Amino acid sequence: MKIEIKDVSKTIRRQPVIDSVCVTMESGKIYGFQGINGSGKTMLMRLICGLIHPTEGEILIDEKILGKNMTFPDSVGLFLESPAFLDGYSGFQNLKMLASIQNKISDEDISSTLSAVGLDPSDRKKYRKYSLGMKQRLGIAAAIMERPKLVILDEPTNSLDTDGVQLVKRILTIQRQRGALVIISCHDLSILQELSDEILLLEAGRIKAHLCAPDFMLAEKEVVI
Amino acid sequence: MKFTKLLWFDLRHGLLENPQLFLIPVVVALTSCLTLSASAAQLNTAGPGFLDFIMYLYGGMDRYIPGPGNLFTFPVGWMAVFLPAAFMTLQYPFQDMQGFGQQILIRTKGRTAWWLSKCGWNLCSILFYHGLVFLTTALFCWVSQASFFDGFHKPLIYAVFQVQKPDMMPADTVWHGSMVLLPVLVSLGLSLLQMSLALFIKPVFSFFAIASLMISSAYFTSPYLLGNYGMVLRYHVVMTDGVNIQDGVILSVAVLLLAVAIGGVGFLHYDILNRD
Repeated sequence: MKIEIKDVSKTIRRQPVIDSVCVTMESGKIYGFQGINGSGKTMLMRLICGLIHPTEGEILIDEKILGKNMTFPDSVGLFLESPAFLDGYSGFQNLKMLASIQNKISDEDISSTLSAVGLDPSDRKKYRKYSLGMKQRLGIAAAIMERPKLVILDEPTNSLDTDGVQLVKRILTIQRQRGALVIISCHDLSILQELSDEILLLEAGRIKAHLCAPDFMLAEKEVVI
Repeated sequence: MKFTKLLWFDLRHGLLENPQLFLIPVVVALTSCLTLSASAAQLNTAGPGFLDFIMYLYGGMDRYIPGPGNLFTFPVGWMAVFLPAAFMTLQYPFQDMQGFGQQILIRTKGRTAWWLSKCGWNLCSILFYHGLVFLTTALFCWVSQASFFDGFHKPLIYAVFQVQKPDMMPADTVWHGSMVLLPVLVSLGLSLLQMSLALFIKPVFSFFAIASLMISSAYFTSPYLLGNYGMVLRYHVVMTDGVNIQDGVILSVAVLLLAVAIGGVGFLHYDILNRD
């Protein structure tokens, strides 16, 4: 998979939230988005997965224009901001309902994904009784269970303890190894430095710096500045 | 196939698991039945029967002619039937879009099936709502041993709607199905119009737009204001120079189809943002 973001801008209520962003991303890599709140990380993710449309410019996914040749990327797993599931259903039931749309995976696949994120597949506890960390893990499970070619995770380590953060790191590494294009955002620069192949530093909707693995030390300077 | 799954999901989570849709029409119908029964007892007139109750729910108001001393009386009972239906179908599509439905949406690969599913859910919810209104009214008649087949009791209807004109409900006014079906069709059209409008303005403003349309319809007896076809008292078979039932069917279906089409196109370009 190849994503080409060509001079994309997005204006919402006359406010530019994304401003002339150009970047190309490829499969088998993890891209880290870093920036303060309101810098445009989540908006850029929403643009890439087709939930919002660029005001200017275009996004090409495998040479197809998003919003013209395709409505959403063909294969995408998404975890944006706080996860939202059905309160009266267990984690397994929620994922099964989502999986039934595409019918690509079995119950065993759902169970193994739940186990991979540290949740018990046989747990019948309703989602409304989940802790924040469990909700976060379920959100990550929903994003990766169908082995999508594009995995987008917005702040996946929020509300997770140290073990949870390690788990996310392992999961993301596995996604990269199987050839997925992974995009994550995170406030913690050290996590991004450890995981990412490339880091985009965003500020006021613009890419302030685009750093590849050897240059990551510069990222800290950019952030400090 | 995806559409069927989506529709089943919406009916299950947006209708069957929404207790308001069960409770409110029952309360509305019961309140209306009790009020009319009390009025009938007070006036000491014959009735009420099933058709009187239905007329009381969907009758609306007599034509309003502005003039000195003729104050506009808000048709509260009629609004109380229509507005809760519109209000109860207001939030679900947008809550779903910003929550779990977002995950479903990206898995369907397109926006059209999702939109059509929401339209189907909306139609089913409105039919369910009015179905419960009718069912509750029928049950009330059965329990209170009121007549089902008597037709209108005109003195009672004249009194409760404060009808003054002799041209209202002439002797040959007969009951027919369109008197029940057209208000429901109007409600379907209004609800879909509201859902489509909510793509362009905030859902709460679209609700106010529909409420304004209904108030305007009560004030002006005009064939171009859809709400007029939701008031049985204004039908040409009930009132001289009333609105034509056939025109009402055509206008309601046209509004319904346009709302589905315009909303569908609007949703293709709609930005799905979070609640903030």
